[in-house]
Amino acid sequence: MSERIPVNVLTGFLGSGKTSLLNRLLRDPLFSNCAVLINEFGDIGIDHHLVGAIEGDVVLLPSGCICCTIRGDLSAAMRDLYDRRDRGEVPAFTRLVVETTGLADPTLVLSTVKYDRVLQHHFRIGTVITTVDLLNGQLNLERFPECQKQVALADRLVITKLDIADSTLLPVLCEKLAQVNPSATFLFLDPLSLDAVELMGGDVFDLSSKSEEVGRWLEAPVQRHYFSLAETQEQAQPANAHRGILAFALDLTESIDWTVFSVWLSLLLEAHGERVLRVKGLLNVEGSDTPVVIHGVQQMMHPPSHLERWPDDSRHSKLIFIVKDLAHGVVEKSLRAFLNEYSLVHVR
Amino acid sequence: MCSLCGSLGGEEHWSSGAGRIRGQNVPTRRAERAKRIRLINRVFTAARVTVTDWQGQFYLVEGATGKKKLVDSLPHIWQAIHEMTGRAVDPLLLTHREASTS
Repeated sequence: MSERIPVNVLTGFLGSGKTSLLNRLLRDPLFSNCAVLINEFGDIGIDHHLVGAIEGDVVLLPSGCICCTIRGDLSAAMRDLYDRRDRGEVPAFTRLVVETTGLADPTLVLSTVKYDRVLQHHFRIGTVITTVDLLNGQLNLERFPECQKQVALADRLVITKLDIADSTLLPVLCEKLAQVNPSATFLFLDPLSLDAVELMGGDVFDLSSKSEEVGRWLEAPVQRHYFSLAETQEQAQPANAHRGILAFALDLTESIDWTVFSVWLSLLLEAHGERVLRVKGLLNVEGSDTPVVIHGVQQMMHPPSHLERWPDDSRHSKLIFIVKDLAHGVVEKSLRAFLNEYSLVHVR
Repeated sequence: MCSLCGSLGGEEHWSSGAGRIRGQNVPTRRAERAKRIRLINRVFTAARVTVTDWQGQFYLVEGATGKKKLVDSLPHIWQAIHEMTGRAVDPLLLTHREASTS
């Protein structure tokens, strides 16, 4: 089977600048191998740039990028696009970008890619890109759970509207975003430049960049303090501010029994999958020479993979959780108790 | 598909996916599966639920009343245990020992 096509999810709250970002992407030669599934052609003013209409809702842009509307059923739109690619009706795109609506939960796109019986053989999940505008980003983050979830699930956070908002808002917004999602990479939608490779590429499933991506996760606990947005809002935020998203890191010095760990995590996700927004980690697994990378969104865990070598000499297992309405201490206590009780010697 | 019973294998659960262990003493898939089953039976001993292997493809979950269910992955085991015991399986609300005795 040929290599699966990465699917990048482009999400962001209403008015956060998804369209501006898309407009940039659609004109960039670096994205000539991309297909983009959008909600409405009208939204991005595509008519001026249309060079060739292909049958149905698909158009080919001057950059070589294929653009297609979703029209409700994402699964059907993706299957249709892949069929056209297979038949040679559209260029053989090597990346797909799916734009969500402003109030959408990005996990719906991710679960379609991962669980659809047909699509899972042709596509794989890539990075989740979330736009946040400097003007209203902080307010949206505090007021709207949809916005918080979009931020929590992001691999890349793109700050927009830098040219029209007060620049003193930037450090405050970045700190707020880091509280919700400390392991995401920040990018700034500069009117003059955009690092396309950093935006789309470099995910944990890409062999050439996997180490760098995991390195970014592991740096996060060192660089940032982990504390609950709920706790800070107790003191500083209005009463209607959204509460409950928490990011925390666990450091386990002993090597981990994979069977015990995976049973515990599976139990956790079964009971609280909706509230475990993200889990990422690098594990020192007993019997394994190289570190094991795990990565998941809610109940969607990806198959574990390996780094070629440890990033440092500590060989500690490190886990990063982004959760909603779950307490750090309770999760950690449960995991440690489970590992202690059921480690290898006890279940032989 | 099994040529004897016609059972279809589903997509492998992430916990048993290829690549989880890489080294000199990698357990076989069968050994790891047996260990996983022993562990689950330990965790749910007092809940009087047992899990056994079926053809290396499925798990047979049996409740205290004799009710049986054939499932193919960990999440489905937890759902079957929930159905048979009437209690949700939650590793946070209950400690490991309490989970076994509830």
